[in-house]
Amino acid sequence: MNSNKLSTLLAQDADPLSALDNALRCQICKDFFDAPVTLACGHCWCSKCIRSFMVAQTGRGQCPTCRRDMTESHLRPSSAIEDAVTAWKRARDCILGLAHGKSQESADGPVKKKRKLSSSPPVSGPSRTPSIESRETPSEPAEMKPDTVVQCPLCSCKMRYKELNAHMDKNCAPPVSTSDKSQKTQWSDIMGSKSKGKAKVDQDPLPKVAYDTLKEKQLRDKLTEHGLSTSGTHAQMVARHQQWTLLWNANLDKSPANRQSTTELRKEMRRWEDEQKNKKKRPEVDSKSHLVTYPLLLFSVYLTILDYAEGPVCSASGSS
Amino acid sequence: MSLPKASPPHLRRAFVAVHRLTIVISETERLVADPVPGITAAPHDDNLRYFDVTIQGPDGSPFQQGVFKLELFLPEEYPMAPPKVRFLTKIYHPNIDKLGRICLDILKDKWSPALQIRTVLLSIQALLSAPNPDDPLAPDVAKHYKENEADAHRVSREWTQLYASK
Repeated sequence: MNSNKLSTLLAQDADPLSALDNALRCQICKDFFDAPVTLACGHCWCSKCIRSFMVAQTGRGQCPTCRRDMTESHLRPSSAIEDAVTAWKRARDCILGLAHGKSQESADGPVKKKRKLSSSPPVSGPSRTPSIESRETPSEPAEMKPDTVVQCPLCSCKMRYKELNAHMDKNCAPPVSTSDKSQKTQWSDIMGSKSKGKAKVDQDPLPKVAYDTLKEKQLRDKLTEHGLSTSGTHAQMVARHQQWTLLWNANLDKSPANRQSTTELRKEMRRWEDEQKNKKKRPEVDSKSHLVTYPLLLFSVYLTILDYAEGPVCSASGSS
Repeated sequence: MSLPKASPPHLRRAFVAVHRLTIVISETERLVADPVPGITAAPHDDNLRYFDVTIQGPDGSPFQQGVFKLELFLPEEYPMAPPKVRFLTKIYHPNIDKLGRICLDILKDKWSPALQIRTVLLSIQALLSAPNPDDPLAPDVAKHYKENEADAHRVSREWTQLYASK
């Protein structure tokens, strides 16, 4: 099996490589750093991992490695590590590809893979792939009419195609259609428009909330403010808000290019909700659930192997 | 690895369960690939979170030459919550009670998610070498250890021979 080869390769044959591989992994989830943050003591974690540990420790807590006190304000995003992880992931795929004798294949591989990628981007690839592709092929179809409404590729404002060039030349100034610009909008341009304020909000971390002091209604308001469900008990609502804050703030610890969209965060939130439901059901089904999960587990292992098998070729095509 | 967007909830839930298990599996793989001398841990076939563990009594301790069976369970919250570990073999030790429960700080308030199954089991092995009668779980054994250590060691050796010989 490929994955076995992989672990033996990383464990024995290539010990210095395995040390490098380990150094770029979070000691909590044992996976590669995702949105790495460093604490005041210098230890590094995935933002999501260390934040959920803080939640589990009710806000206070100690560094999992050296037990020095830590708070959320100590967290500093570490973009150098993030870049190192991205680079190593690609290098790793190449090395594994070479080790598995994929080198002959890669000669004719890239062309085939590229076609496959562009024909079916959203099926199973990592979420980043489609966005990269769309960046690489921004060319508008030739038969665009001047009055067609299009989205600006930079600020995703909607406007007529004939205005697009002028708009982009002015560094994405709000579309000026002269006639229908009311006094009100002109004023709001001067005083700082609504849309500007909104864009800024998207960059701001959510503040810590003292849930004990919140009344039920305030808590509900907070949830609806972020478009979250208000069902369940008080404790469930608190947990939901905590989780959303966690996901939101952890996402901001990534470098802007790697950040997830709000839709993706919501999807992750839904997965978390499912997990909570699952947890509640667990005690009664536990003895039988493995009958379902075990085959699925094998399936997931199979998928992972596919990932490994495809990875090197993809990256080779990307770099060449 | 990702699921198709519009998958039914029961599939999504199963996927989540599997995803959480992958942490457990990667740790198990490492345990198997790089075993600790004197310690074995094997997951159950039907429940990958449940491990059968054996620990050899450390040399120079009254538990020398004994092989102790333990059970280890990784709760759903792991690694945010500590694993649950219990001795199945009877042992005469001030920090381990009749039911096999272990008094060890890292299994309680001093748990850290950076610890692993491996480090937990090493700590338990170290506890066998260095009993701590000042923080007892079995008061009578602790008293014995404090008042007459030599005699307490004798009983520990006897129990090891009786219950933990190979």
